[in-house]
Amino acid sequence: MTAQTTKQGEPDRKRRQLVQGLAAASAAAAFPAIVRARDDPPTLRVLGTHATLQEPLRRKAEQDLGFRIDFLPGGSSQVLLRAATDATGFDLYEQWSDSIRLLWQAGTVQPIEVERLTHWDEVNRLSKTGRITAEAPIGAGDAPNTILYVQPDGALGPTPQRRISFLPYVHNVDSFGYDSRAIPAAEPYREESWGWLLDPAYAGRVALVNAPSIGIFDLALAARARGLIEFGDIGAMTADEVDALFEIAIRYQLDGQFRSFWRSVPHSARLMVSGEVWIESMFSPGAAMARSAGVPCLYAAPREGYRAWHGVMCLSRACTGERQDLAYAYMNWWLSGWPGAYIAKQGYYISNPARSRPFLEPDEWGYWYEGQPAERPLPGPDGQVVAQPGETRRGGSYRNRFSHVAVWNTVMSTYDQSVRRWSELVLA
Amino acid sequence: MSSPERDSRSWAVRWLPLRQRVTATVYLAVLLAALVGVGATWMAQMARMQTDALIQLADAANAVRGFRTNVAGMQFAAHRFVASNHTSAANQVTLTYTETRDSLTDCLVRECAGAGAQERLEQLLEHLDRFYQAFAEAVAQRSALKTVIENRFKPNLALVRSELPAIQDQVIEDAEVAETRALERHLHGVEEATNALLYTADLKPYASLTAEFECEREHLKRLSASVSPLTLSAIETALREMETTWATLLQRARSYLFLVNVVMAADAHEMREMADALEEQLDASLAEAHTEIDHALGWFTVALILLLVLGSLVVLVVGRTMARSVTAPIQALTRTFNELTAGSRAPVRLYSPHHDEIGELGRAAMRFRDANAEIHDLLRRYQALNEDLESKVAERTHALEESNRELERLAYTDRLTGVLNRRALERLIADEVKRGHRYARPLSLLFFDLDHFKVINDRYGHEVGDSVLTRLAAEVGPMLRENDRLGRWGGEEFLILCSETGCEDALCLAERIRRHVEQFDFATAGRLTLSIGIACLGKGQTAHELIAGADQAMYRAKRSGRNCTILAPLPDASRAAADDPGPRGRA
Repeated sequence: MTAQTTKQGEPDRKRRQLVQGLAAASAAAAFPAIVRARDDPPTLRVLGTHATLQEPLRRKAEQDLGFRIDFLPGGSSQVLLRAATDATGFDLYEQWSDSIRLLWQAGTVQPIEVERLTHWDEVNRLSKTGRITAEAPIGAGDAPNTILYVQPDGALGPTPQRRISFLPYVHNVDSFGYDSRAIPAAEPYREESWGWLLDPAYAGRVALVNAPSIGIFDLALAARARGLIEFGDIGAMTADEVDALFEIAIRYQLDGQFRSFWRSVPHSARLMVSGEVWIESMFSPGAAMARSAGVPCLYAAPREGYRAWHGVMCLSRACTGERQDLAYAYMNWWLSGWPGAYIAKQGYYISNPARSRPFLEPDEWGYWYEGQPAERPLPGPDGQVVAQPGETRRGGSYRNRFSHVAVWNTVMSTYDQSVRRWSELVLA
Repeated sequence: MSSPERDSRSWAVRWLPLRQRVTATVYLAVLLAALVGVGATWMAQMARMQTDALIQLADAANAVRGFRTNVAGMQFAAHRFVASNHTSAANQVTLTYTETRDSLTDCLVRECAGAGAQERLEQLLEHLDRFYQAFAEAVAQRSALKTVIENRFKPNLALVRSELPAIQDQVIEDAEVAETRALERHLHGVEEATNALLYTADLKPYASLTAEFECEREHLKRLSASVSPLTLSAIETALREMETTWATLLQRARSYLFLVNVVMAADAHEMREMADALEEQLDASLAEAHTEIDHALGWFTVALILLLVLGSLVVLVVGRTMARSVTAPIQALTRTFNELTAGSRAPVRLYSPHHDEIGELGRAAMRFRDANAEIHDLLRRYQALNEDLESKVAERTHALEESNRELERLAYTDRLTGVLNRRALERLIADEVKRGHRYARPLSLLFFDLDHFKVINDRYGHEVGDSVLTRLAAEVGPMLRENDRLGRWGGEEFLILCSETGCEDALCLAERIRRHVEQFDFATAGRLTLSIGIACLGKGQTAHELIAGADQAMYRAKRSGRNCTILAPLPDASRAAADDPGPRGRA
């Protein structure tokens, strides 16, 4: 999940923050000592997206940890730019696993010592091995384990090391949502298919997430499901494959297949609520929003498998000394149970679920992690009902869903090419 | 009058007095006219409002088309800026953005496209803002990119470049010269790729520069034998600096390209979709408004016609009922008056319970009936009186006429014999003579006298004499023709006036009378004779002359022995005429 998950009404603030960020960047480059002096008493600055930078989390963390925390939320690309160009502008960076390669390449983050992570041993095998169970197929692309460990040569690789590039914490699987009034409900894992996104019957009623790094997988899965294209490795497309895929997508767009390329979760929900869109790539909070607005939006469990993502929490290269201690404290807090329970209510999983279980009601645990029917109207993190009694999470349990991963969100080597061609697709 | 009418009349009559009925009818008609007028005005007003709405929608559609054109223009200008770094293009984007934003905001405030389009307009505005923000960020990032290149990359590049000639001076070996040449070429490549960074959408060549930096480090190592460590160290530092800056530049370029290719593109697409959807919505609204107007006007026209028809029917029925409620009592009252005039005494029915004109008329009829009955009684009594009087007058008149007739008879009748007396004879003769002259008709006069009557009187007394005279008159009378008139001239002298009778016929009549009397037995007096003188009317002869002529002829008959008939000679004037064989000549 790397899209610009910004909320409406935020642009001005965002822009101001960006400008401030840029100003801070140049100022920091020129007078690092002054900035440091000004940061006393210690405040932890967390740069990230709205998906995890939520006020209740910040307040709870301040309460539990006893130091000040500043959240610097923004759109994913802006956040990435800030993090990649100025290590001094943040202490911790929360984003999605597909941004880690760029960030690591930019060199603005430093390895994290697993010794300093209290609950490292509890982190489950999904994050450490890429499989939720020993039998589960490993998804294409950058499974979390492949980018987790900092190898002796400084590169990221799957071989376990004592230093990691990011703290594995929230993760989930994405697919598409569809309005079951317009498209009849189908059986999860058997009938529901990514190919529906390119079904000409839904021309003009389809939306994609406006993010090349993940939208390209939705397109690729759809095109492959319809038999329009084959990939050597869908998680590492070649330049020719990217070109071929865009040729197909642009052809569809010229026929008016895509109504919109949504930029935020509320935007995606609004598109479906207004009836403009019947089917679209979606994030689970978006589907929940559409459902609470009265649209019978089903969050599909595609037979081709999900597009999975993993949250990364990275330590700024400039974060040292006392500030670094605060950063580790914050990372440990995230795996301490309460935050995982909080984030579970918006549909996200935490990498050490067992520690969060006591913080959830049994029926909540049953619904979110075990794929059991809700026994009562279940509240989301904001208290709004997100699941009605009897409703089950589509795709089933945590284990079942992560056993159906088609591809992990990945910034491929052809990323720049896909960005270049993205506008061609959007404006075709 | 039929019973429903009576009923309808009765309710109208029962409920309202005449004046109110008339007023109500007029009011109803006026009300209907007013209603229709108001309806028509309303319809006109509605049509105007709808037309205004249509115009507003059409304006909004134009405005939306304007938005779309502006969006396209902005997109083009933004593209121009991205592709060619034209400052004018950036200015144009700002200008178009401001203009479009102003008109959109204005449209939003005025709800120019209707309430239904507000949400879309707001979304359009939101995307416009986002697009412009993304563009502004792109401009800023491009500027930042340029600054980094100019301030952090180029100085280091220049430093390396400036050191190269010194190195070239120091190296002697061919291989080393080749190394410096390679270094120079690589630097050139780095410079070109960096310069192109601002104008390329493809980061591949730039990303591959990592290898180039590695190469350069290798080149420098090989030169370390013959180049001063100080120079090499300076170059190495500059190259490291360049490499760090290169990573920043790559991220900035990526971010910049993301903004241009992903963020701006999506918002541009969304704006286009929004504008299209808005235009469709407005077109649909226009069509809908058209249909609505047609429908509303149609409905209204029907309603108005219905109101007019039903209303006029109501007015007609009410008006008719009201008129009937007026005319029916008047007709009935007319009949009543006619009957009253004819003397009816039937009680007058009251046609209105109210003290209105009809009621008054009815009460007047009642009064009239009473007065009329009185008058009729009076008249009957007067007629009875009058008839009585008339019969009495007629009776008296009849008696008087009888008396007059008796008196007249007595005045012209000889009392003894009952024939005409001398006065009547004189008047008759005078009249006949005049008539004979006027019409030239013959007229004869017989004058006879009883012979020796004095002897009878003397011998038998006057009574016998009178009876002889009476007897004579009675005997002669029946012998006369219808137009002959007998009268007693005096004593024993009688006259017979024969109108339309010539001398010869008169002579025959005289002879017949003489002979009859000669043979008639007068009882006591025995046989008696007559001497008869005849005179025929001559030309110019007067009555007196005629009488005198007959008298003289009678005296001549007396002198000629009595018991004969003598024709008096015609006067001279008429003798010549007597020769003439005409009727008068014979006389």
